[in-house]
Amino acid sequence: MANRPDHDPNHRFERLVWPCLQTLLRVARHMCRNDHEAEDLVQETMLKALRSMHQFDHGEDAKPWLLTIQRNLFIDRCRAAERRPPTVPLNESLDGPADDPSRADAGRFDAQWAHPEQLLERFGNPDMVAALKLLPVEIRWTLLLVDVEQLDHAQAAQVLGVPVGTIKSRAHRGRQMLRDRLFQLALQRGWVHPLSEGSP
Amino acid sequence: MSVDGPNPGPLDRATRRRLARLAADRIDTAGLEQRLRRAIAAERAPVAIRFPFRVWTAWGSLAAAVAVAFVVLILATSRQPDSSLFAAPDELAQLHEDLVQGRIPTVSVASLDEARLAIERAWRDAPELPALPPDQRVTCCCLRQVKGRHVACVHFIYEGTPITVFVAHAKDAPASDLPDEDRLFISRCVANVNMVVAQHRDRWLCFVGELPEIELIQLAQTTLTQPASTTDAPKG
Repeated sequence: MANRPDHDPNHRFERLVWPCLQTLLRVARHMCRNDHEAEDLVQETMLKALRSMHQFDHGEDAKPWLLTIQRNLFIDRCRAAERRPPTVPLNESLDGPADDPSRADAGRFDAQWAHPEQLLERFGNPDMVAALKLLPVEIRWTLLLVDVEQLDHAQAAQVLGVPVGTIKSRAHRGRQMLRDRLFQLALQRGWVHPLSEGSP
Repeated sequence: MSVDGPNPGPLDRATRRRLARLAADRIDTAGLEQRLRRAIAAERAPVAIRFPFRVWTAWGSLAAAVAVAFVVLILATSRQPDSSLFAAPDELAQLHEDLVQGRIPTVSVASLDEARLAIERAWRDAPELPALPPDQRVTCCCLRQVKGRHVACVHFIYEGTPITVFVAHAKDAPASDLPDEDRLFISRCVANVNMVVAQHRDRWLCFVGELPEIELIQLAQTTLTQPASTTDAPKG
């Protein structure tokens, strides 16, 4: 007898995996150099998921599982191309010494964010995406998973293969770094003015 | 240093809220979906070919004939011109979805006979509708143009699953180099649905629905083997 829809891997793929296409593509676009590369990555992710549906045992939420596949494929691609992700090593600990100067004093503009909601509203999505893309890869992954895609810390930790505490500290540090870049942009646009004292 | 705990500071909360709005941006995935569907169809194709052979083994010579025709037809349809109905799986899948969602005008009918009458009233030389299995419930029907060809659509519920059968004249889905006998093949999985295409006498039939592939094949097979008279349809 044929599989009933709920037990049929193809049916489960259509029901649980296919609706995650937007999420996968959005994350891929933020991680890859261009849209073409992002679509290739998502296609590879979906095909791998299709072949692995029999292993899927995560209830109804396929998103963390898919993002794990996508991230692993992303790493494989970076390695295959002998192209390091443009910033930090995968096992980076943010508690250790930072090799990115912008990370060392992340949050240096925080004291000048008098009205964060209003100022953040002034930035369009392209500004936000551009600022995100300047962040180190692992920080970017963390913000994408936790803040954009709204995974909880445990799920993000599972996807990125790091402890929950690392996710929390990366998320906090990542937001600081993002705000720093946005604040610099706001300065350039004349939306804010540097403090006369103690301004960077 | 504060980290992202249950009570992040106001700056972090504001940043989180702003970032969350990025997820509201809809991305056009149409091109990617098409690519994926093609890749997935190719991925699934070997399985689709194996299934009918296994099932039809017990059907003896009929199964062998159908199976051979199945392979031949796959090869033949790969050379079909774009105007052929064979080239419109996406459109047919969309039509099925529109019927399921009630997005296109249809004629409400309560039986296959009523559907036949309604279709024959609008299309005098309509191809004969297939004899559906007894445990189906026909709900509506309509006529559509697909790739410039008339297609009769009959929507029914089979074992709780919405199915649409599209029927056209075989000449509108040319397979001229094939012998004139029953043929059946699985086209592909498009969107959320499976699709089985059959060519029977002078009719072209396409069954679309969320049934597992093998069940959809069996359903199509039933319509090919069941005598048309079992539907006690009045002929005009």
